[in-house]
Amino acid sequence: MRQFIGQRLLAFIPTLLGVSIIVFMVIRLIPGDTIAAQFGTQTILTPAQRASLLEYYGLDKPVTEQYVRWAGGALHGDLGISVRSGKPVLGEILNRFPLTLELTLMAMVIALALGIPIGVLTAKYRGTLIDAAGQFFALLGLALPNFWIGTLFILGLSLVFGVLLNSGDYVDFATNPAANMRQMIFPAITLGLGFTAAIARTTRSAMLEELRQDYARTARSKGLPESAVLIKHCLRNALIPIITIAGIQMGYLLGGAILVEQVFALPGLGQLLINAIGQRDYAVVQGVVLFISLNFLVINLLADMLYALVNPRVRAS
Amino acid sequence: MSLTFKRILRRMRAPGFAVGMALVALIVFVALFSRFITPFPAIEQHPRDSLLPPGGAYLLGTDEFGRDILSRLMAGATNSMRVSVVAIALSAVFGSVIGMVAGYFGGLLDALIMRATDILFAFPAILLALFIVSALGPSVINAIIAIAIVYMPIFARVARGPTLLVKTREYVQASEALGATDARRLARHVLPNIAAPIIVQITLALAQATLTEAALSYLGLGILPPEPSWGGMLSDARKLMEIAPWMAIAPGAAIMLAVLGFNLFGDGLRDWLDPQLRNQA
Repeated sequence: MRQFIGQRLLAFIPTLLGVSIIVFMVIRLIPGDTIAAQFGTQTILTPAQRASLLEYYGLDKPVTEQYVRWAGGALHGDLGISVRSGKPVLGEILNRFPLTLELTLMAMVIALALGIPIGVLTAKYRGTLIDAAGQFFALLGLALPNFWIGTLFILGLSLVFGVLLNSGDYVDFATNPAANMRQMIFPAITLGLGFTAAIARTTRSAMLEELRQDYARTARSKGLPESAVLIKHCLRNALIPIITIAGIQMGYLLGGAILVEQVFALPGLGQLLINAIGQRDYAVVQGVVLFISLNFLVINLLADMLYALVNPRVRAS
Repeated sequence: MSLTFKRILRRMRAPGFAVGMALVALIVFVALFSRFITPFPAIEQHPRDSLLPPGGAYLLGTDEFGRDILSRLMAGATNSMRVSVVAIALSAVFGSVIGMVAGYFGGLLDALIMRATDILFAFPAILLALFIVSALGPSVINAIIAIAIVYMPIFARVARGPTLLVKTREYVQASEALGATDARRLARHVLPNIAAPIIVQITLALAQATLTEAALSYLGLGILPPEPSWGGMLSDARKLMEIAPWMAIAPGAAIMLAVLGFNLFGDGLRDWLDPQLRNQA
């Protein structure tokens, strides 16, 4: 196990390096130079002002040196300064991150709580109407854009119940848990729905695989009730692929949260990113993208390790 | 030919595949001919008919400028599909060639290419697309470039695996003995034998690309107004949703049907082209 962790950690480093190079280079794709892009071409800068701005942002140095400076800063938690707010980028990210994390975790809980039972039921009643309904739901869940589901929630609640979602300011969990939950529950369901479909699909095929195994037949033939065979024996084993998928998809939830926050006007990382794109605040864009992809990488790494922990066969190979 | 047609007919009995094929056919038809069949020009404003509910001359109602929603939906199909199809065509071609080259030549080249795809996989798709568009600037071309880059690594992986297998087969070695060049062997012997998974991946990637394009346009970073796009129409609907809910329903339904169609079609193709999977699930 220790060797496995070591190998995975070692493979993690070049990927991280590659990710940071991409995050750094993509910003260099901006047509013209970033100074003109950020301050607008209509702003008339004297050559001296331009030169001092270039120097201030380190843009007068060769690209490799710029990268080393930027990556070195990032390693120390220095992601630069937002040109719009004048505050450090990392601080802005950490301010917004709790909301996005809460949204993602709630969506994950909802998806597991709904997706696993749906998967188990559709596997148990394979080929029946229940199976067809479950499969249909899964297909739909994968096809529905989450920004549309969110829109429909807002629409439905306001038309049917006269409830206006998110009409007030965002309240964090520590300040007022009840108000926070009221604000977060629909965004979380919205974000979790597509994920529920993915979990249901994985659970179904993993359960079908397990139900075919000899041990399932043995358990049945010694007279165990069907529920015990399903839950105690098969689901336990089926959980392995489910955990892996959940881990991998957690990162996609972070991506999806960008859109869901936009629909529900929640001040999370996604909103920070979209606003920064609109305002050409490139330090913030770069910082948020790096931060989210770093989270994505770490989550995948943890999912891998969890997988190896519960499945010794992976470690050996 | 007629045998293939019979096979297709036989597959049609699988309801998912038939529904998927019908949806894809409908969307392709509308996307190709929207210019000739929309009831009104998609960007024509009828100020006196603004925000009309569905019915009458405007089958799906009108938006705040009195533009016909059905016409915009149809023209939106053309715009949205153009982005997804061109983007996926680019990523399928480049990704597959990269994957084939990696699998065929192996060694350091393979290791480097696969590392690079790992790195691209380290970004959630929508985040990478947003990031690329934010740097290049919002436009149709840039949305195409972004989506093409995001889905390229999938094709590299899908092409590489079977290439590893096929290159050891006798017929490939025989053509090597006959003096065929690497390029010829890849094009004539490897590609036809790894085409099935790539074709399946193209349809599934089209579903993803449709969602990504809609998301970009929803955020104002894809197809720009006044040109209609499904994502853009949803975004327009946000501020008027309470008084004109029909504006929010039609474009979302269009996205859903397109994605559902490509997914069902892709799943059906996979079952059909890959006999090993036929008896599973």
